[in-house]
Amino acid sequence: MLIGALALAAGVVLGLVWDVAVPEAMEPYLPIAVVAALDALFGGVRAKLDKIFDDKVFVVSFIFNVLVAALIVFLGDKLGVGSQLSTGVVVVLGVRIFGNVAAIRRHLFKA
Amino acid sequence: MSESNESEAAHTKRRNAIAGALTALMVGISGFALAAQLSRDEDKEFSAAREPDLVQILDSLDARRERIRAEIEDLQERQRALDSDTQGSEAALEEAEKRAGDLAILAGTVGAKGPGLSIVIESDTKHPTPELLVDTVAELRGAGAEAMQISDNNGASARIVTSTYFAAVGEGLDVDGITLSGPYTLTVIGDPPTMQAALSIPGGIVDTVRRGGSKISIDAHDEVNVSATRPPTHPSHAQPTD
Repeated sequence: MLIGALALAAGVVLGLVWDVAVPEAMEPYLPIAVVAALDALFGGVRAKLDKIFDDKVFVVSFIFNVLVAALIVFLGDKLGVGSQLSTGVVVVLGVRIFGNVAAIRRHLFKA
Repeated sequence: MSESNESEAAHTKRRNAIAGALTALMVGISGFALAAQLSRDEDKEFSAAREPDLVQILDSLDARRERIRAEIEDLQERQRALDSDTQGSEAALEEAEKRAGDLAILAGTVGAKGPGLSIVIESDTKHPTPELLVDTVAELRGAGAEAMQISDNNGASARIVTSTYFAAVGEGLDVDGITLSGPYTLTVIGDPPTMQAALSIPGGIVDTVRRGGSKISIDAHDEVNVSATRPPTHPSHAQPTD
């Protein structure tokens, strides 16, 4: 848990300090990928609190979520419904994040 | 047995370390991507917009540009109309002022100056008769006189306009109610040679005055002043027609 928090902080600092240029081909997918990663992160925290956290599950679900989200957006762009599909993905992921955060809240505050 | 247990425990430990490192890497990557996305969104307003959105924005900008261009054309048209209106009114005003000036000179309500003659008629007899002066004025008008006045040596003067009358009063003259006594000075604005020739023809005014025993002298000047004025008259019956 501590290592995870440290890694997150290190990643944020690195991303802020290093003014990285996002490749143009990746530009539409990065926001969705970030949302998917957030979903995986909150899922991991929740699993940790539920004491069912598993490294392997986390790593696989993280990579898989990000890839699927990017794929859905890519397909949507090809089909001409990119904005609608990415809205849908963001809604689904948002609902999941809310669910995970609610579970975490129940664990932490017992409410 | 214990050896294999030990190696298995080491294996599990190594596996756990790798998984922990991978987890930390994933978390770090997501943090990095989040930060990169946030900092990128700060610089470019439209970079995150999708193609259809951009097309829509472009369309609405085009429509707005068309509207504004139409508005500009409308306003320019109005400006042109107002400009030509102003020019028209200015020209009309100038014309009206010029006309008012012409009419004022004709009606004798303002002073006038210009090239012309000053004619002095001196007499010790009853001459010149009012008839002679009327003839003189008519002759001068025929020769293109534009403004006239008659004055005497006492400083009295009268503007001669269309309605002016001459009447004999004792030794002197009554001109529009102003009494003058000789010698008389006629100040006339017009073309000096023409008027001089008109007065000097054989049997004309000069001959008539001299035959009557009076003296007449005619002097041409580059500028004479007709300073006597008449109050403007306001017709109470006549209305202008267009």
